[in-house]
Order: sequence, then structure tokens, then C-alpha cells
Amino acid sequence: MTQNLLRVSNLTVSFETDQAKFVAVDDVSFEIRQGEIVGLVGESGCGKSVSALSLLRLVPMPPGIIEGGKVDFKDTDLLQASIQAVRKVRGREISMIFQEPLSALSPLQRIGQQMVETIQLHKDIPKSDAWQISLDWLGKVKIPDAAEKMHAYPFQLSGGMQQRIMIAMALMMNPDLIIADEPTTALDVTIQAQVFDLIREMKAESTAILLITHDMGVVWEMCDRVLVMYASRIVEQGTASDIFTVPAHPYTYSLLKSIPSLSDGKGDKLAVIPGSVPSPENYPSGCRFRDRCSYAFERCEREMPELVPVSKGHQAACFVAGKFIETRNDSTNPINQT
Amino acid sequence: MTDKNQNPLVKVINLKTWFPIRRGILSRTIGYVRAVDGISFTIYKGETLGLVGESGCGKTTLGRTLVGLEKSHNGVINFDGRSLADLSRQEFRELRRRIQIIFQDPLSSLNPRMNVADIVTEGISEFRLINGDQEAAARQILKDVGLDADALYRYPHEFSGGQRQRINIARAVSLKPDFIVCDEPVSALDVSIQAQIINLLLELRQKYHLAYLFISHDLSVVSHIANRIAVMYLGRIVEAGKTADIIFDAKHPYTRALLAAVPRPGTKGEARLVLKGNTPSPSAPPKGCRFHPRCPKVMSVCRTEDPRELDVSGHKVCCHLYT
Repeated sequence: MTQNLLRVSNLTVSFETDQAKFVAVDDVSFEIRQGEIVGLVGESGCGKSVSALSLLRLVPMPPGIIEGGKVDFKDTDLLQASIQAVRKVRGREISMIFQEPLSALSPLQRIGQQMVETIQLHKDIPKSDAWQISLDWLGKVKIPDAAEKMHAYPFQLSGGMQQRIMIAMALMMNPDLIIADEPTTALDVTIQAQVFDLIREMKAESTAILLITHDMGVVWEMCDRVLVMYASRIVEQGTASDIFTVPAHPYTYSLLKSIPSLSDGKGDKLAVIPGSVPSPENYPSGCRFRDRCSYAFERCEREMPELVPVSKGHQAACFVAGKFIETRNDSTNPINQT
Repeated sequence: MTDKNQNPLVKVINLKTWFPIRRGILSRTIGYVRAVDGISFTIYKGETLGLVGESGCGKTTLGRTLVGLEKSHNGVINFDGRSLADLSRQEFRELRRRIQIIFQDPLSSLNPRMNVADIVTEGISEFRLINGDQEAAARQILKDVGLDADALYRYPHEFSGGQRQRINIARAVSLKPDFIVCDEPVSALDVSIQAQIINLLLELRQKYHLAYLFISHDLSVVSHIANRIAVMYLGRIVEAGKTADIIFDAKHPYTRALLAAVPRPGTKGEARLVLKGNTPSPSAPPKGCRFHPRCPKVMSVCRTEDPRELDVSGHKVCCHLYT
């Protein structure tokens, strides 16, 4: 059993504006082991990006407030550590890949400069060495004419190439954990496939990845374990095969069913989740999915369900989680329909 | 659904939409971005043609050209037997009622200063199709797209993405069109909402016998709504055919790569075909077959000769593999 690299416990983050205060991440706990790829999935506004940003204290405060919880990385609690200490961790031990490579790269600096700066921030080596390391990494992420591209500005490169540079920058310090926030959402599918192949190839054995996405297909393709988030809370977690073959939370189940699979064009209706995601200002009482859930009963209105074990390593926050699995036969399983 | 004996509703022949590249103080045209470069297809009444391709392939420009938002450089667009180029302004205006468009971003395509009732009745009052009072008409239109009447006097920013797209659809459908260009109508929406909007488009198609040109980069979404699919690459259609044929028996290497690239639950471990490189620029398309620099099955003929359209077991395919 590999050891825990990161353990997040009871993380709660809220935002306060003049008018209102609302919770964006509510009592979230999970862990990531060495070398593991963990997917954090959910729809827009569910709190997945805020969760990831608060791990590295990147949430702007104010308006953000970290209400409580712990983020234990190796031996330090990143929420208690000094900001200088957290800065040392950022980029070196934990690095991030963002959704929009163009807005994450500096528009005024050439690619080479940006990479050298990153290396020199963490390693005391001469510029020429840092330049060479950067050049090697551009080659590793298969950037053609790397020496020439070192002198290019980000806007001169295509989206796929920009994202490769982000990946090179994230990997070149050989971090223990990479947080990738929707790394391929802005890219075309054929480029997305290239990027995923690259991440898989490049990552060292012991590097763990927290992959944030809204795309269940991506999770299936890439992840060992999955955390499903809905309305600021984790509603289900388990191995990828648990989540896809025996989803225990009605939300996960309906979400999987509503994904269009390749079809023959007969115009069959898709399964839908009625209604829309509630906004944090007006979450319903009790279970936050109950308004849209076909299994909801009176207890769901009164009580907030906690994560309960369904099987080993598989948990769901639902009062009917266990029974819900039993009442389904295999033919209604979304994975058998694809 | 498709009656081949009837006249096609939309018939496009060798359509080209080029954008000039101008340089220098005299703004001389030094070249063209060939966004749409020789495209032909037909759509029959009540039929949906899915148009798939990656960003920059020209699919949006094609849609915009069909509704008259871009001017074509060359080629013919026939609507209901009449060429759009031959029409007078007045005639085009009348025809434009029958051709509507739904855009990708539901918020930026709605006027933030107009309430929903005004938005959805603007078209019908412009064409003097309104009988009775505006509110009753708006209420009826909203009912069609599954919105409550309490939406009437609210403004676009007060709605969720899915509801905004419903308002856009309501505005398009209110004019009782025959043909709607749907340009990535669900791409900006969450998964759980996408399905609702696709189902709504399916319902409306049945109810009003609408024809759609459904533009999307997502093959799974397109396969749910389209009767036929056309795959676009760098301004050209490289393969077209019935949905089931394209999805389960694709011929063109590009279509196959697109299908393989979509990550889907249940397909892990299959040998995937990963395309190398990026889409070349449409201002300088490669010689010969435009796909040849990225094609896994490239032959020497592909580098020099542009493939003709071939009929391969019911598909139209532009590829030298089948000659």
C-alpha cells in the first residue's frame, strides 16, 4: 500500500460579498496516494475548482474565507503553514495546470524566459543550465523546433502547443502532485487525446495527479479513483470502476445516464436530470440533490446525508445508497448501454 | 422521415466563403482565409444534418453563410427551390423568417436590456404575425420550450444557462421557421442540462416538422439528433452519410480518428488512434489532400492530388484509399 501524499480533511471555504455569504466548499475530505490519478468531477459551480485552489491557498481572500479543515501534504498542514512555506511548495512539490493556457502564461515574456524564471525560482543554477533544461523539456513534450519556440511569445502558438508548454512547466520540477484543472476543456478532441497520452507518458511513477473535470469520459480514460462533487459537497467517491459500474449515489447514476453515447441517429430521447443545479445562495435543506432526485423521501428534506461506506473504498452520501444499488438490475446500468 | 422524391429544402452547391487578408497602406488583398471552400449538401424538410469538425474547420462560417450573416464568395444556396442570390431585399427578408439560427453562447445572443416577453415576440411583431395581445403570444411561445409564464418579465441574466438557451430556441421557433441552424447549441451547457436541450430540440422537430443544420464538435451529441452527418475538415466535407453508417462504419481516416479520440466510458484499453500535429491554417491549406500531413494512412498520391468525392457503400468519402 503506497502512502498518503495529501490528506484533506473537512475543508470548508466560503465567499462573502456585501450582500451575502455563501459556502463554496462544504466539509470536503479526501486523500491522494503516491502515483495515483484522482478525478474530481462535477458540473460548473459545484466547487471543484475552489477546492483545488484552496489546497495551495490560491483563493483570493477576501472575498474567500477558509472556514476550517486541514490540508496535510507530507508533514505540513498547508492551511496553517506560513505563506512563504506554501510558496516553496507551489510549483516545486505541487504544480498546477490550468484550463486556459493562454491566460496562465505571461503574454509579455517569451516562452524560454518564463520557463527559466520558474526553474531559477526553485533551483539555484545558472541561467544557461536552466535554459538547457527548459529546451530539453520542450523536446520531451514534443514541441517541434523547440530551440526556435523558446523565443516565441505564447500567442504565437496554437492552443495545443500552449498546453504542452504548461505541462512541461508543471512537470519540469518533478513534483509529487500535479493539480490539473480542466486541462483539455479548451482543446479539440484530437488534441485532447495527444495531451492525455503525453501526461501519462511524462509523469514519473511516483507523481500523483488530481484531475478536475466535468467530463465523465475523461475520468474513465485517465483516473484510478473518482470524487463526485455536487453543490459544494462530495457525494460519492470510489474507484473508477465502482463509479462507472455500480454508481451508488442517484446523482452519479443519473449523470452517467444523461451523457450522450454514440448513437444511430434514430432520435431517441436522452435520460435527463430534471431542474438545474441550485446556486450556493439557495441550497435546499437536507440533501442538496433532493429536488432533482427520483428516490427522494421525507428524510432527505430534514437531514443532510453523510458519506457512508457502500463497499470497500466506495462511499456515497445518500440514505438509499445501499438499497439503491440492489434495486437496479444490470440492464439499467449506464455502462451496459454504451 | 426523409422523402427523397420531394424537393430539397436547402440545397448548397459548391459554396465558398473566403475572408480576404489585407496588408499595407492600400489594403491590398494578399490572400484569402478559405473558411468554407467548396461545400455541397442538401437538407430535406424535417431532416437534421449534423455537421461535425474541430475548431477552425469552418463549420460556424458555413452556418452563418446559410442565414446570410456572411457573404459567400462563390457557389449557390437554394432554399425551397429558389437561389438566395437572385432574391430582392424584400423577398430575402420574407425568406429569412423561415431560416433561423441558434447560437452557442446563450447569454451574449440575448439583449440584456430586454425582458423575455419582448425578446420572444420581437420577431413575430416585426413580421406582423402577432394576433391578440403580446403577453398571450409570449406565454404560448414560452410554453412550447418548457418555460413558465413567470419568466415573462424577467431579464436574461436572471436565468441559468439551460433556461437562456430555451429562450433562444423560443425566439427562433416563434417565427414558425422551416429550417434552423443550430450552432453548438449545447456546448456551453452542463452535462445534465445538455440532455434537456437536445430532447427539447427533438420534440420541436417532431411538432413543427423542422429541418436542422446541427453544428457541433461533439460526435456523441450529433449522433443523437442527426439523421445524416457530414464531417468537415479545413473548409471541406471529407465524409458524409447516414448517422449509423458514419458512427459505426466510418471510412475516412479523419472520421475514424475523431471517433477514436472521444473518451467514453466503456472503451478503455482499446487501441487508440492518436492524430499527430495540429490543424493547418485555412489560409494556406496543404497541397493534395488537406488531411495528408496528419493522416496515419498517407500515400504518395495524397501529397499531390486532391481526392475526388467517391461513393463508398452509401457514404460520400473524399479519400484516395478508396479509389
